[in-house]
Amino acid sequence: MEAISTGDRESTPGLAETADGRAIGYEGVAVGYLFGSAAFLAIGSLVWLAALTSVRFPNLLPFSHGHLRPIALTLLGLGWIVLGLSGGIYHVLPRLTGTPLVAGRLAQLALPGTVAVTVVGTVVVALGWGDGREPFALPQWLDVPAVALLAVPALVTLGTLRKRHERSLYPTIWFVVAAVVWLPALYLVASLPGLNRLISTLADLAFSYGFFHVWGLGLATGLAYYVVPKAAEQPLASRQLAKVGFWSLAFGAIWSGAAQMVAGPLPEWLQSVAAVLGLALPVAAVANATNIALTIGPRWRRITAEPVLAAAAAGAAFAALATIFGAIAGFRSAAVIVSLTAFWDGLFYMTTFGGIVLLFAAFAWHVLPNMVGRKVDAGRAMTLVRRNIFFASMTSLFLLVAGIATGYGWVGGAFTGSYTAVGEGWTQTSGLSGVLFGLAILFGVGALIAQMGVALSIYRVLTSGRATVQEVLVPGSNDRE
Amino acid sequence: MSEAQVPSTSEDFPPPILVGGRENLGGLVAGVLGLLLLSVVLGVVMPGIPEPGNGVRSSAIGFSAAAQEGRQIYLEQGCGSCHTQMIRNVVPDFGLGPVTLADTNQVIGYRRYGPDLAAIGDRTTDQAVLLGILRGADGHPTVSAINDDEFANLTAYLMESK
Repeated sequence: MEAISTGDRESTPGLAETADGRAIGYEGVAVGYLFGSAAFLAIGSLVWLAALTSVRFPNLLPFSHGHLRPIALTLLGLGWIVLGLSGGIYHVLPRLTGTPLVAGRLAQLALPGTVAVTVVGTVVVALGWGDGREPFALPQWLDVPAVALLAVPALVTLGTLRKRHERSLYPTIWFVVAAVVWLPALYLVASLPGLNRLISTLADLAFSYGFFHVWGLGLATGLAYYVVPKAAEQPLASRQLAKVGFWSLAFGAIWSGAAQMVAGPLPEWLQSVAAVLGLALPVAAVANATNIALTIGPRWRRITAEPVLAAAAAGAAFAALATIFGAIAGFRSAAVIVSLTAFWDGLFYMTTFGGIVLLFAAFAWHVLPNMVGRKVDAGRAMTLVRRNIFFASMTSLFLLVAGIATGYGWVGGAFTGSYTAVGEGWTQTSGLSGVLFGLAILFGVGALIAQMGVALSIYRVLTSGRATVQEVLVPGSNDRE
Repeated sequence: MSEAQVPSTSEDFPPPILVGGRENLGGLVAGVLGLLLLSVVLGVVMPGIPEPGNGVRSSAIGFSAAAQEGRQIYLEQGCGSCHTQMIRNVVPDFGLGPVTLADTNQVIGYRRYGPDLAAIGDRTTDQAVLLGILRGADGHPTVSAINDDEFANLTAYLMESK
């Protein structure tokens, strides 16, 4: 077993280096990505709440749900999650490999490129020029630069790993490799022209769920494996559990998508495969959450005062819960009721605004002070964690229940005949779920304030907080030999 | 920075926390790529292959040129975010129309926040009613970004969806 160690030392701002003075890469790249992503988190959260509101109050806003939904997914997916977690990759890679980022300049250039594609994409979809395909609905001419930009983290990661000084691989690297390889490949598959409607829908769902599970949740978990041991000052509890978590995630990643079409026009065998392989996801999420909890273990009392540990533990728990519900929803008996309803948006909310937001916050709160030089206000951050947990839980809960109520409403409507009506009759069947949806929006406002607080806390390390040392690498055992 | 206590030598650094293991990077990349390929083949490619054993039936609709234009508008306006065009062989979908088969050329959709529109052409025979709904009746958001010709194409697509 090899050891990789990090330490604190004054260094040139924006440039990480090893103890012997060897520069290890463009530290400013990671900082830029993290700051850029925080802005998209704030805007994307706002638009997602607007998208939920537009379902309940269709004429309240100037844009319909059909426009707001892909805009929000683009802002959250391409803007916040891709930028934020790319920043995470560019931060951990030099530290875990002892090597400067390969093609760091390319990574630097990809930042404004990704911001541009995200902004242009939202404008294009708002103007009604999108292709209507989830998650981003970008037209084909924007898919090309998007795939090219998403390939940049893969080039940087694989190039850096090839030249690494540190021969051992820490579990975070597994998640990084999976994320950077899967994302552009799945995007490419989902963008292929000429697919029939069923296959293109399956490809869209595979990409959407691959994106949020492998790139979003998977990578955020991998980054938690980096910060939790450091924040808890404990080694990772179990490498074997991390392996179970990683490979189960890779097995189950895309199957929640197809599970939403169970009982639909899928071949019978695919419905069974989707339901069974979908079970791998909760196995992954529970293994990872357990590993994080066991790592914190001896320092568990610190969880009420240490925001990095609290956010990581809560984020992993949200992920576990969401994937358990998702797996149950993939079985035919449950899918009959909850497929196509707000239930799946509840799961999305739980995964994204519960799981990924908190895991992202844990990472950013731990690494940014080390790079920028100012501490995060722990008290304020703990308040944000508590608010995020409460409001994200309540919003998800009401969306889940609204979905179940809708599903049962459809069953009743099928017998009364009102459900088959197109206008007035349809509205009448959605009474109870409408109230529950309204409650979800109400708690969503609280969640939005908490999500914006997380984004703001990232910028505050620039403007306020006590000074702290910047982190640089010191030689690992290989370097000492 | 001045407030910080800065270690002066490498001996002042804490013991290693992040402990890696000897693993084959090539094996990891191959495993990840292999699983990706398997998932795509199983989840996206194979469902598109007809199964002669089940009898190949078609649910593809021969849309007119105007309706095909309308389908494009349906996609661009994001109608699939709220409406499905997929009738399942389950109790909640009874009465909506014929069950959707594998090779539909309608827009399957992702959520059903509004009614299913797979057989809308059979359920609503009055084009004026449909146009009214698209312009904001019965709690439907107003579709305002398209002109009269596009409205006509969109309603043609919906009327031919049956």
